[in-house]
Amino acid sequence: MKKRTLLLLISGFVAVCVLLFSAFYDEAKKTAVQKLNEEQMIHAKQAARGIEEFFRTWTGILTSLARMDEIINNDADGKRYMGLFYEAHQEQIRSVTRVNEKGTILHTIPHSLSIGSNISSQKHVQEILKEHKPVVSDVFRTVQGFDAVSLHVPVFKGASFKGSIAILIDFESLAKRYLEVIKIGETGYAWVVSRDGTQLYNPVPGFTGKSAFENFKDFPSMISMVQDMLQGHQGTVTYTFDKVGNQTVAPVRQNAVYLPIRIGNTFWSIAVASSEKEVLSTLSSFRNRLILVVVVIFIGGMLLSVIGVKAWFIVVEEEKRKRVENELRSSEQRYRQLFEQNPAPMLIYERGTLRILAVNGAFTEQYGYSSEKALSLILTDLYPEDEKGLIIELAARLKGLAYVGEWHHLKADGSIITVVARSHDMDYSGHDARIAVISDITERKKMENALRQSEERFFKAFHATPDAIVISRAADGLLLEVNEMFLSLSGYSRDEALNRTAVELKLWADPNDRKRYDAAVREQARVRDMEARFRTKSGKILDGFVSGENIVLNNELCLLTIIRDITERKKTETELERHRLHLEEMVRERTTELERSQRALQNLLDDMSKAKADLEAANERLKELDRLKSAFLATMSHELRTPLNSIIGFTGIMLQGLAGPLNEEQVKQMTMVQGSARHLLALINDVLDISKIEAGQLALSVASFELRPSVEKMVKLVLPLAEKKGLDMKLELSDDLGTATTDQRRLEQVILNLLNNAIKFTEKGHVRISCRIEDDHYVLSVSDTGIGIRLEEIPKIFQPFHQIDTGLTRKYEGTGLGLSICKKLLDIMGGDIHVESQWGGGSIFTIRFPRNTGALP
Amino acid sequence: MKDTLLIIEDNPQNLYLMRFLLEKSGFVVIEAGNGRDGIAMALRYKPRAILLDIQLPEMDGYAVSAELKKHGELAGVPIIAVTSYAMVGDRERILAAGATGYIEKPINPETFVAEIEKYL
Repeated sequence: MKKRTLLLLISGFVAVCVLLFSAFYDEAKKTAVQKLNEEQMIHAKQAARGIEEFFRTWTGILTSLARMDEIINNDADGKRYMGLFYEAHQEQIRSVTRVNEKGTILHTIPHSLSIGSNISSQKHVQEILKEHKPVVSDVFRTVQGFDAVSLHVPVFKGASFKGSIAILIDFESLAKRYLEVIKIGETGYAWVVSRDGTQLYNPVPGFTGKSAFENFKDFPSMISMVQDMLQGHQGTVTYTFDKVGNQTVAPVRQNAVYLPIRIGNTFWSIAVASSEKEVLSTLSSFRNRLILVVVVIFIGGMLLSVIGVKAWFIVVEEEKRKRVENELRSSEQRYRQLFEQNPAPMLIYERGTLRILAVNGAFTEQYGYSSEKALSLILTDLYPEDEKGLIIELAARLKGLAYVGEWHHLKADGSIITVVARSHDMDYSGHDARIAVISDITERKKMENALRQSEERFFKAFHATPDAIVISRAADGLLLEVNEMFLSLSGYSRDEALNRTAVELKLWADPNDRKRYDAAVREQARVRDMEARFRTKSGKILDGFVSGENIVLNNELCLLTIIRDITERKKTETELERHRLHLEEMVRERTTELERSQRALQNLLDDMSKAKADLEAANERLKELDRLKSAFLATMSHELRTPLNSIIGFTGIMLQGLAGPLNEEQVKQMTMVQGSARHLLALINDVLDISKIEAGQLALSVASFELRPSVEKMVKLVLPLAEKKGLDMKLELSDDLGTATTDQRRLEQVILNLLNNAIKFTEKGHVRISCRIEDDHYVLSVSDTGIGIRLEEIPKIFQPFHQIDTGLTRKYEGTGLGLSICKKLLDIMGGDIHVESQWGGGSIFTIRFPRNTGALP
Repeated sequence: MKDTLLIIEDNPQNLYLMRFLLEKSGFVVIEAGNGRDGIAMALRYKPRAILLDIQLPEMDGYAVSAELKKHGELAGVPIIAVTSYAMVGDRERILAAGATGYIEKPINPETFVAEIEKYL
């Protein structure tokens, strides 16, 4: 990715630089070529103007000569003038000739030999003979062996054409003067074509004098240039030159300019050309500089790009790092939440040191440690003494392993809980640590234990029962479980009996018994004490009572069958029957004897039956009386309560101020009314209680309950009273108090009565209640540091309406019925009450009642 | 407006006592002195609840409660027995006869209204 981007960038940059370079370079080259062409054009123009000037000058000179009579007439003077003229100009002209109107040479200097010869065949001569205007010839090779151009100017005598006067110009000198000087750098040169395409001058050897079309036949661009030149146009062109003669050479691009040279009747065209090398050589330093600049730009650009790309990568990396950091942070937060909010206690400890590094809220809450305290612990602090060694040993082995195990943990308050701990390795802020999740299974364990114990009890009962018990599956009759008694009765071993059916074992001696039993179970779901006969493994027949009942065991319908062996009883019965028969015999013998005394007895019986009838009648009357008494009591209770309802109700309303405000005295008196009414109500309730008890109408409602909370509840009820009098309440309940099975409400009534009495008769000191187990009884004592009881009073205190210190004013409120009710209640519950006391030295009331009232006869 | 309560009670003092307390708390109280009138008023006025004494002339509270239960339109009306029958089994008998609640006389004027409201 990084490499490819870099590569792309570099190639892009290279392309840009190349483009830049070529654009600049091409522009520079174009400018250079243009400049060159301009220069060439100047040269060409100078040459053209020079040549034109040259011919114009010579035409003017010759025209002056042609007007001279001596020349017109071609007389001796004329011939002399021609000689002088030649001498004066022989550096530039090779001859001067006078031609007549027929084309015959009249006179010529210096080559007199050709005088008289006719040159009218020559093209330019024909032209002047016809046109009578100055004419310039093409370049031609003279008989003397040099290239020359002749200039003819017409000669008139008056209006009559008398031929021409001409000079022969050494073309080489002309070319030297005007064309050879044209040097453009190393390779530039000039060439000239005449109007018919003949090359008047070309520095390439062999080209001069030949047709340009012939010379340039391999170069179409030059041909078209020549054609344009022959039209008399001026222009610029570029062409490639790769042949010299028949030789192929390295191609050279040439830049050329051309323009016409106007001479008299005709025109030539001059071209100035030079190789592109000229341009390139001038450009080379510029190019080198340009390359340098571009390279510098390239390197600079590259550096910038690399730095840029690097910076970009750093930014990208930074962003990536930030993203990863964020993810890490949020995952840490999630983890922290999972840890902190987890309802299961969790802790993290360092391996090796076993230091606790972190705990969650559930841990501190459930273990009772503050977070600070928890973090100062080491792991072993959580374990009881006998497990510390084990946990150290285990922790050392656990690296790299997930662990689940059951342990005991100590809470902050020292209590021990059973836990399942799950742990695995983790890195905790660089610590080599383990994280543990803890489940408190104390309750579950307790339940498991209870379940196990109950199962054990069941199996003990199952196996210990004196009857044979068989549990079979209803669907197929297979025996699923049998007890010890069954094995000992039937003679089968457990393995032989289980997973067989009763039919397979031939247990039923009479198949009809089995059918009867099955039918009965099917129809009534249970059978009780059906008589049947069974066969043991050894074939012995047993008599039995069979009982059965459908039960559901592990979600399967099963049949519980209980067999009681009555073989022995049967035997006894048979024996008895025999004795009976024997007895009957004896009885008959005695009957006669008896009949006699029977009559006497009959009389006696008659008397007795009469007495019995009397007794029954009396009994009926008594019962009737009893019923009347109960009805009377109920009515009395109701009738007394009805007015009391109004009294207590209205007193309450008035004291509450609902009927308007009361003054202090009224409040005082109404309070007294209220107290009296309440006292009366208590009296009625107590009388009712005593009456019911005496009438034997008080039925105990016996149930099992925990004694300790019941006693504590009563103490709590009287605590405000005790506190009001500044008395200490002392509670000494033995640790082994368990359930009591008796009438809880009545027992609590007794305890409350004793506590109320103790507080009532004690002005300072304490009231102590203690309770313990003694054989099958609970013994509960209430002792106080109160006024005590006189010795002579003690026998009377359990009588109704007796309250000690019965003076003129009653110091202590109460009905005086409480203790007598207590005594009667305890009688019914099968317990008793007694008192130890000393006048002025406090009292101890002790009650004793069976732990299980129902279990007593 | 507060709920309407019907009191069936033959003792004028007790009737006045309950009426006083309930009206103080804003209830509208209608009353009947015997069971038969009580049933007629219950059917006519459809009270929010019925406070029923048990010891009544002619037709006792058990019979009144059983009769009230026969009328479907009174199905949601709680019947609260207010009685001085305090013998063992009284409470069970009254509840068996169809009463919803049971308040023993003598009533406690400070808690009576709250006890009634418990059943509403």
